[in-house]
Amino acid sequence: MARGGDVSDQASRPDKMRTFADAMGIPESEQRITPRLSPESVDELRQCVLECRTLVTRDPNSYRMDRVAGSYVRSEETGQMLAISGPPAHALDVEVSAWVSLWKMNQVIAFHPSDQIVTVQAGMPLIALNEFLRKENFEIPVGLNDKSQGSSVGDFIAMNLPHWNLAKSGSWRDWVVKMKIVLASGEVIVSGADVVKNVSGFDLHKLMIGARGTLGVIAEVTLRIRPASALREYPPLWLNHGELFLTNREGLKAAMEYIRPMITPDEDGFAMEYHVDEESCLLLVESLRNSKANTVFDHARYGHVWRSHVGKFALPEFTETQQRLMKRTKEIFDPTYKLNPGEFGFI
Amino acid sequence: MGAYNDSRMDFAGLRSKLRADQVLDGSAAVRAYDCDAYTVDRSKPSVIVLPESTSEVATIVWWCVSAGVPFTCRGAGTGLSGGAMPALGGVVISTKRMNQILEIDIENRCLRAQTGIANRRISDAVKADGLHFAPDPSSQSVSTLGGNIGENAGGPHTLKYGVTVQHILGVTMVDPLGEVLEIGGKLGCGPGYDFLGIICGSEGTLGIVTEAWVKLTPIPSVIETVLVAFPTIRSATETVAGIIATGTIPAALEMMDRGIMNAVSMAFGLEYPAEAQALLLVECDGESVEAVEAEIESVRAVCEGNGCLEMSVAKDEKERARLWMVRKKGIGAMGRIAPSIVTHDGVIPRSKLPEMLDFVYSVASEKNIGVANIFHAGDGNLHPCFYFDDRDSVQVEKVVEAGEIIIRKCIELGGSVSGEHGIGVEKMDLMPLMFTPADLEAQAMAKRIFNDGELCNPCKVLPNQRGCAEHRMRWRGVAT
Ligand SMILES: Cc1cc2nc3c(=O)[nH]c(=O)nc-3n(C[C@H](O)[C@H](O)[C@@H](O)COP(=O)(O)OP(=O)(O)OC[C@H]3O[C@@H](n4cnc5c(N)ncnc54)[C@H](O)[C@@H]3O)c2cc1C
Ligand SMILES: Cc1cc2nc3c(=O)[nH]c(=O)nc-3n(C[C@H](O)[C@H](O)[C@H](O)COP(=O)(O)OP(=O)(O)OC[C@H]3O[C@@H](n4cnc5c(N)ncnc54)[C@H](O)[C@@H]3O)c2cc1C
Repeated sequence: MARGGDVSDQASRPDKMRTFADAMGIPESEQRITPRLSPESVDELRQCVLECRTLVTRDPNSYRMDRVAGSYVRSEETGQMLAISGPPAHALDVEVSAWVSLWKMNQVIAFHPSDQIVTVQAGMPLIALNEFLRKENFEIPVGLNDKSQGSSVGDFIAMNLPHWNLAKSGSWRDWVVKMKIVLASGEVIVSGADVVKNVSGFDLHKLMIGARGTLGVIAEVTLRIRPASALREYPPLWLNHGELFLTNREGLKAAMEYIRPMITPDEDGFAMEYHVDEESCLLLVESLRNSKANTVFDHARYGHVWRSHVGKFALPEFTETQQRLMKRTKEIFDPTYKLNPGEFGFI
Repeated sequence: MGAYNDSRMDFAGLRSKLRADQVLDGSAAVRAYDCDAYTVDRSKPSVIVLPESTSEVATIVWWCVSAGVPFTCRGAGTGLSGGAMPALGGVVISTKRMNQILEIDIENRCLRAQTGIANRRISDAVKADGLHFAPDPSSQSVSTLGGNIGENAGGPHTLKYGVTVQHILGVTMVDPLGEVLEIGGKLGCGPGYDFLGIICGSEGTLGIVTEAWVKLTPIPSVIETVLVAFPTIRSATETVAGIIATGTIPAALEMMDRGIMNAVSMAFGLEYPAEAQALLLVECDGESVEAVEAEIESVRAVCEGNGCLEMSVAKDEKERARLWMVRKKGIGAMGRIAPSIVTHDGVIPRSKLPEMLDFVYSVASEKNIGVANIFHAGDGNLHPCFYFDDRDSVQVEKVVEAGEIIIRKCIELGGSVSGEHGIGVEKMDLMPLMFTPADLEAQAMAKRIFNDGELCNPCKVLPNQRGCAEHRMRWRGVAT
């Protein structure tokens, strides 16, 4: 077993997890104890992937860490895949041999200011990378820039959530130029090159962006960077419950209409918090109280919604074609469903 | 692939599904479709079909699959790596007649069109609304939306606005089995795997994109263009890195060398300073005059710091067009100097431009062939343009060799085999220089998501495909 992967050493539940699980009222007997592995090199990561029957890549700080995946749920009535749902109530129950956290793989590997490129280990917290870059007068204008959040570069890329600078700076796809990936087979592969423009076959690294670690574990990433600018300070996405709307101009109007009753203070002066970026047509709303209101928003017409914590009220997100292609992709890249089982509903 | 034999097929089944005017098979036609703008390798199709809709494309693909006949999609055929060459013969599916705009949504800044539409026509259709389709390959007046998607085409304004993939919201694609898939849409892609990301740039090997939703971008209200002359190649290449380092991202940052200037002077009578060895064309754009002028000032400072000879500023549209002439007509002008030209394509980290250009000239002089450079300097995307006579097989060999040496150097410097022209058949054998067998196997896995067979644009992109090696000699041999 890889170093850092000593089961006895890792088996004790981290306090943070205990607190969370306790807070959620899960009886201690039902709190699963899963070994946590923290590889220190690509080779150790590869060992983890080879030796585990199933594994989940998780940030040590992840708010979802006491439950496997669980971010996608299937509708009880139709069996259809639904949008993000947070833990714990609606999590999928999947057996996991180990959690792998890349927190010890947190270094800058190469920094080329004149080419505006940086290569980092995927476990480096985005905050740390941004701090490093800011000292050198550079920045990466994607991600959430949330100071309270310790998520790693690998997490952000694997999630590929819409962000406040989307309209101006695009998504991670526009900034990742190369990746080193550990596939489910244990094969370590590279896709892309240290250049800003590149057509060289099938762009695997693009397939990994937003795949939530279900097709491979991102080990290293090479990113474009740019000279620091006066970037807007983003409101954090650190919300216990929330919905993130990525829509178009028409949809933004409709979404605003839809949340209006909830952002208008009630008689106790309570109003839901929300943030909007008109240029990116992005809207983040905290804690939608009226779950029924979800159905009012016409997704097919207006766009995508990422949700946490709405459980079975989450609305269908994937088309039938998208689901079928995703399943096929999963079966090619991870035929035993080893990586992040449960994520996207893959069990 | 051995089972398929062109000469025994009569294609009657296929003909029965289309009108007579939608099938071409005369000897002139099959010769016209035996290569794209990369003319070194050629292979004739048996028939060319001209579908008009997604369902016709699906019918054609379905027929090909059931008959075991290979098929290759073709847009305008301006590809520069042999992507549209029917490597194993069979059917060429031309999108020539699929050139309609289907829906325009100005408020949401997007448009849906059939993929045979020429790139330029998309922008023309929404110009009055102050919008355009940002990818602008130099071939844009003819090259098609489908071909741009196929090659993930870039252009002079890629530096600021990005390549094709960044402007595609969704596609309708006929997959290699003839099934119609809708991927993404008017609203782009939501959560889930990014299939658009691998379809763009897959050179027609994952299916035939028949319609696409494209993003429309506002035309900037302020544009400043300058053409700067430099006494040496090095002073120009160092200026490129210098400009980028200031944080200014010009809309375009293009470089042309003396060879290109001479060709353009001869062809169009334009004059450039006699001592100039290189020109940089720099364009900055934005919404406010002050911001754009500040950018131009910072560009000017870097140019002067590197000892530029002269800086011409466009005062109006007419002058801008004149400054762009050397970039836009450069390759065409080269075509007048020699019977044949081959424009190579490679990318390197920008800081390596000075070293790389020295290398390109030394390779050309070693091989004793002519070279001129005209390229997307801001992206580090080289286009050494070799001129030669393709009737002389010795020269052809030298040009191919020189291209390979240059690409090897690009990879050695941390770059890539191709920045925008793709792999096609031209660079298949160079892929292993950049990727390990495991990397390539993983790419083959990505291909299998859509294409698990051997009929849809066979023998492209990935090396060592089954049944392809024995055809290579034939492709090279038929240039008659
Ligand atoms: C509506 C909404 C509400 C949200 N609420 C919260 C909240 O309350 N608190 C909060 O912190 N964030 C929240 N987020 C943000 C989001 O969940 C995180 O920001 C996201 O980036 C992942 O962080 P995490 O630490 O939870 O990652 P994790 O859940 O640990 O990981 C994210 C994904 O990335 C994968 N992954 C991680 N590392 C790798 C790697 N190296 N290679 C491949 N895959 C990898 C994981 O397997 C997982 O699938 C919310 C987002 C939305 C849309
Ligand atoms: C003078 C000149 C200048 C050029 N300048 C540039 C430039 O600045 N930037 C740049 O990137 N390229 C440039 N090119 C190369 C070429 O124009 C681009 O690659 C262009 O995108 C090809 O479009 P096409 O319609 O001609 O495609 P084709 O050559 O017909 O096809 C290209 C590839 O795409 C596939 N394909 C075509 N249509 C479809 C479809 N509907 N669905 C799926 N696959 C399809 C084909 O199978 C083939 O593999 C230039 C070429 C020339 C001759």
